[in-house]
Amino acid sequence: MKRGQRNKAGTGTLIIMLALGLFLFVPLCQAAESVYPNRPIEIVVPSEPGAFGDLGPRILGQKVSEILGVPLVISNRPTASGAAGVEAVTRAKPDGYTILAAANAPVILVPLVNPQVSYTFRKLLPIAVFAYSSNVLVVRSDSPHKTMNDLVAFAKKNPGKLTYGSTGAAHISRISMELLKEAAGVDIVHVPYQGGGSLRAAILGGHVDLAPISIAPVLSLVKAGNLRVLVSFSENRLDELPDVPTAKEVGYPNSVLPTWLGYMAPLGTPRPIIDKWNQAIQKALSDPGVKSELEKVALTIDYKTPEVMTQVMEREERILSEWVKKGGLTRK
Amino acid sequence: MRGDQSKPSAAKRGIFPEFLGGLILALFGSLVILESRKLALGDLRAPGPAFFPFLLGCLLTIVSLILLVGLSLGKVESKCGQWKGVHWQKVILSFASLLVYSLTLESIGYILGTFLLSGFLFFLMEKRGILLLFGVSVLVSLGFYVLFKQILFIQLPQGIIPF
Amino acid sequence: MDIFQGLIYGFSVSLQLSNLFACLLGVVLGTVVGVLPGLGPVAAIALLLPITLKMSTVASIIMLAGVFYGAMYGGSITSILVNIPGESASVVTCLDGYPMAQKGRAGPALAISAIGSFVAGTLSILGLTFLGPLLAKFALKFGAPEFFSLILFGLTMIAYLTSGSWIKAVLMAALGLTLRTVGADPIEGTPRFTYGFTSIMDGIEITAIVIGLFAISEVFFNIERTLQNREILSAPITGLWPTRQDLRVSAAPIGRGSLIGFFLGIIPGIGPVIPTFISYGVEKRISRHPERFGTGMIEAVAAPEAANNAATGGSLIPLFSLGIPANLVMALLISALMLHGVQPGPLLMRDHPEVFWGVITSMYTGNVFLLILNLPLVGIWVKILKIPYFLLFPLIILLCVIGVYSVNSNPMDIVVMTLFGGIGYFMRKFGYEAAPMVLALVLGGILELTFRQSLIFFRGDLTLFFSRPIAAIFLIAAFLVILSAFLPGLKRIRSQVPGE
Repeated sequence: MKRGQRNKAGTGTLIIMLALGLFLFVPLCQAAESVYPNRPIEIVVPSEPGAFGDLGPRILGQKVSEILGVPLVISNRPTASGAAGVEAVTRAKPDGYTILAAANAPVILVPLVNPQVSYTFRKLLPIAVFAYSSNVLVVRSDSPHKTMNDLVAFAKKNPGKLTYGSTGAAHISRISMELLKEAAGVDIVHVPYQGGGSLRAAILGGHVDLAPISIAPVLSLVKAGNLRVLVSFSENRLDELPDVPTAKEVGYPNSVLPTWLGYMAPLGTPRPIIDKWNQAIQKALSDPGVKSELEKVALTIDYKTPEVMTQVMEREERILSEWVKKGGLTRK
Repeated sequence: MRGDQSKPSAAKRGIFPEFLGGLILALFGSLVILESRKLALGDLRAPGPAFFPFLLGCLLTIVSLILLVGLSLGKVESKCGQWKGVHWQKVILSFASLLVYSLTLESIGYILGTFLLSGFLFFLMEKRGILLLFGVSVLVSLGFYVLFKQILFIQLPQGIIPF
Repeated sequence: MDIFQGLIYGFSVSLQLSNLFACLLGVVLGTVVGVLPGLGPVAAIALLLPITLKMSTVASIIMLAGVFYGAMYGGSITSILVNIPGESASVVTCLDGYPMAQKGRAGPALAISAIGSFVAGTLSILGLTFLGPLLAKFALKFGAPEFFSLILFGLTMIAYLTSGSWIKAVLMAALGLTLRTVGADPIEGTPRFTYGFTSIMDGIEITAIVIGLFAISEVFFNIERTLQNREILSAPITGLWPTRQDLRVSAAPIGRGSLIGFFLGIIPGIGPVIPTFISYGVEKRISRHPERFGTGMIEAVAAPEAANNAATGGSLIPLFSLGIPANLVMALLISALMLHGVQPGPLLMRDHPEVFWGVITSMYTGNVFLLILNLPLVGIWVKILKIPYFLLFPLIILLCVIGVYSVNSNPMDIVVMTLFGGIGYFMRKFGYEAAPMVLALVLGGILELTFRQSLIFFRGDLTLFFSRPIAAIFLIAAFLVILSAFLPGLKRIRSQVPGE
């Protein structure tokens, strides 16, 4: 016991010394300069790790981080379909050290369908759009519906017979499908699934007839002959599937809604910081390595200036809010 | 009474808090039923958002009523926690400190908050020299910070200390 | 290429020095994140994704897969030692693992979970190698009605999880299911019971509840009696290794756990959680001493540990043969493959045999690594229990705080953890068990979703459940379980003297 007592004093001193050492060490890690950026930047990603909205910023972020010369720390905040992440950025200090990896679902769609969300895209400053990915409508390859016209004709004769699966109630691909249904005047029953994986299992297993889904994860199934693409919800035909018509070509232009990815900053962020980011993004996009890596996850480079980005968001907000007002999500 | 394990008295003493527990669950179940009435129930063809919670509220209420009946007929074993001779005050203090910590974490920051919390908890567990407690708390809060934030890159709240 | 050629080719890839190193790195990292509460393989793999861009495709998938099954090993360590399930797949391990540690048998518990995991891991890789493509087609037959019936059957197994009152277990399960309905409705997205809090729009964070109910309440429970016994252990540590008797009683449970884990793991969306408690329930049902479950039975640690590791191998089948992720970790592996320009799916085996066979064979070596790594570490882990309690308890709390915060970077989750720590403390005091509630909470979402999907498919006709053979079998099994649990339950009530 006695020996223990004496030792304790010694241990105490040692611990305090160590603690003081750490106290001195930590601030040294972030010795400050006054030029932006001089410390790690937090990138808030409003989706789960591994999703599109996450992979894009992760790939591009590596190069942007090299150009800016500081680490970009990704924090995934997928809560409430990403609303939590977007909201956190609207409230963050506008000092350029919190940047949102934006996408149209959390920034535009979610505030329209969720009455609890109070922001709109006007609460954020656009930096740039850097890529988009396309959604397509697939059927199993043994399905009797060969073209979009076949499908619409069948659905008109058999209202409520067909089912389509979606990756979730408030997802862009599902909205495209609903807009298409509305334009074609058909009744196809909606069955939501949790994410792309279970939706792919459901369409392959024959549990649903149709699936609007992002192209990347189904491309290999299409090439292997398990699935067939009826139509793509994109502006132009896809490079990977040049024979597939776009929704515009078959007469449903409103349902063309690509999923885009970009960056946004809190309102009040100084213009020079926005410009610095914008230039870094442009420079990173010109790197051939970044281009090929983005293409591997079926993201197409599509740079848009802050001004064009605002126009895109305004168009989408208009289309989606009209649809939501008409009953949209809750309508059967 | 201290450490009393004798059977009949344990049973009598146990009934009341047990009963209270069952009652709380029954009330909670009824509350779920009431609250889910505010949402669309839907029908079997197209069940609405309230469909499942409503069923669960019913299940909760019915089963807790069974429990209450079983208890009052003495047919369900009642298991009362022991309160005498244990430091439940310490539990309340550590619960309260953790709650305060979690509510203030974002405004005062990880390092300071964790320093205060760990200091308090160490003090609560065992009264040792103040210097030792201070040292250990500083060491622990900074150690966690360096390990998780600097080495493992986990985001931690910043708060008033700018790192 | 037939299977044996494939295996030989695979080993020629996975035994290359750089790939061996990737495998070792993966399993070590996995064990570490498995040990830390809250910090699961998902977070670790997401962090590693960009780094893997600089590695070869095979090496990166080998490493990331290693993180996953390594985490399954690691998750059991804290469950056994301090009653913190590092992963929801190790909740069931707490039930008998922690009582074993309290009795001074932490060593055998840790060793048997390492051995069980090794055997199960190896068996499931054999299954993956030989039955893979065949079973993938079968797994697709699982639609919403089949899911619903299977999960309902699984939930009835909760009756076997409890060592106390079955009424209370049912209540806890119902409570867990109810808590899961908080947040956006899975079909229409309508907010339910959120009362204006954005942070619970996607539901209450389950990790926070699990850690609160298990770890924090355990710490509270120990704080109240710290003066009575100064160490967590109420008994001295007796022996680090399982006795011959331990191994004998664990052998069959490990085999059964592996089978259950493997076959359920194949089905996309099942994940490693359900197999753990189904196998626990099965063991308790066929045991000659069901009443001793929950007090530290070694077979009750061995079987679920085997099940969750076997599920890991099983879940690779839909990934490799169809490109369908069985859970979030598998979804990340798909992203990793795509980042490397490899399309997972039916063509993977033809286009990229080095990835397919390389990763499969690396899992054999990975499991050997884990066994070699974990058995000698048992002695070191057990020493954690010797840390004085005034240091250990605050450290556990701080570790839980970090773990919970790291999931969503949301301080509200720490509040939730604290509240459920308090609730869990009272539950313990009154003989309500946390495990049924946690499992119901984990499965509640998919139970509701598949139930409502089924009703949409059946246009509201409930009898159609019985028109689907797989669904019908599970529903009947669920009914039988309820019956067999209910009847002795009634008997038990009648025979009980109050206050027994």
